[in-house]
Amino acid sequence: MEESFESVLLTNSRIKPVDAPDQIQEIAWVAASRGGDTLAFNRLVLKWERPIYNLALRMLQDPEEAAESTQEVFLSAFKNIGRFRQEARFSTWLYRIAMNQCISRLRRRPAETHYSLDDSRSDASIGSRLPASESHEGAFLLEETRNRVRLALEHLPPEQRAVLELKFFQDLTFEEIASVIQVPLSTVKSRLYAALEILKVRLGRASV
Amino acid sequence: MIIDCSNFRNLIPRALLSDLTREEQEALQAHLKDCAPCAQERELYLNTFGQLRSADDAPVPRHFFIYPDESRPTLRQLFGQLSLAWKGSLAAAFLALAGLSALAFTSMEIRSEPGGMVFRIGNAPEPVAVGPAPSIDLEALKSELTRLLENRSRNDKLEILQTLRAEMARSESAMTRKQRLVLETALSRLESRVNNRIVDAAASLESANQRSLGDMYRTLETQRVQDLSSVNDRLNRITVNGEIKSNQTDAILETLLQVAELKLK
Repeated sequence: MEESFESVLLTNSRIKPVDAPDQIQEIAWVAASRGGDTLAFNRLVLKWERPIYNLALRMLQDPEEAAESTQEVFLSAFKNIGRFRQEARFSTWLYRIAMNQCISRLRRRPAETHYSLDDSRSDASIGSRLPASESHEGAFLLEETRNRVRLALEHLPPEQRAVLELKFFQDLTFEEIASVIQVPLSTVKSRLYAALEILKVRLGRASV
Repeated sequence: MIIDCSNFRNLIPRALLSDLTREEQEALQAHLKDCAPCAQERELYLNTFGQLRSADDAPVPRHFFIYPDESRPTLRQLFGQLSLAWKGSLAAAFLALAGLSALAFTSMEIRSEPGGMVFRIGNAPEPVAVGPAPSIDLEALKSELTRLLENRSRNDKLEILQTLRAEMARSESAMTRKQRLVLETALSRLESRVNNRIVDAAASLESANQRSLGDMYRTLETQRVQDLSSVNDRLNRITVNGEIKSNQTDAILETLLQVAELKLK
């Protein structure tokens, strides 16, 4: 029976998982990747694919485009890993690639459709998006909240959405966010609080 | 109080994100205890934050592994992995190569010649400069060629010119560009002069032919006149002789008649 790529990945990489702090292990995988070790790089993929995919999903609001974008992010990261000097964390560098990728895609899109605060799309569309298996009340409410958040995020400019994503969903510090999107700390904060003001109006009112 | 509320409301999201100093935090806490609208504002933010946090991560639809065939490093990536010394050496080599290529491109020459195309990079090769380039006495060469050509037929002359041109093309590498230009000009002039001479010769030949025909006609005319005169003279003589003979015959006959009459008598 032919071995799957995943099983090879877990057994044959030159870099084996060691009982070392997470950060040190990641540094070792990055070093091996810089030498062209695909399997070591795929360990980094395994570690970071979920956050990066969800970042792309929340930024782009389209599962297929998010998957495509995530694949491009990892490919680009592998091709350019020689430029990564390990002065910052690998995740910061990866988030920067991902965020640039998403903002670039958002800017290429035709002018987005904006909805008013009285938009009634949410209720009608939420029910239609629900899978049949999640039709009980708790799942319904959770899905309703997710969709309301999704709709609210859609109304934010890409730059504000990026800061909110990195702060709320990726749990980055203000300094890390400034490093990822390469703007001053004060710009990061002003974008974040402006985004929260908009979301408070949309989400706060909806739940009251 | 309104100004105070506005200030405190701006601090609420900052407080929820731990972005306040201890003093600001304490002042806000004290204010929220006494201000219901600001406390409600805080509740709105808390609710918003709660909803944002509820939008947890979705599972990935597939893995995003990089496979060896799609991860082949690019030239840029390989260059990026080199040490600074290697990068510098490669960059210097590349610059030198680029400079040489540019130099070759600027002095490249492509032209057609009798017998084929000529492709050359750099200046035309000078003759091997052991001493000064051999000088050519063009006037002597020209007069020699003219003398030779004058003794030949037109086809021969043209053939000689063609041969000279081919020879010049073949041996041009042995001449400087200036010498080749002078020789080309001389050959062109020579060819022009030969052609003129051929035309003149043809014209003079034609003129001579016409002259000789006139002379021949006049000779024939004279001959004809002489012949006619001779014939006429002969006829006259014949006529005279005939008359003489006729008179003699008559005399004889008369004599015979006289004799016969005498006999008869």
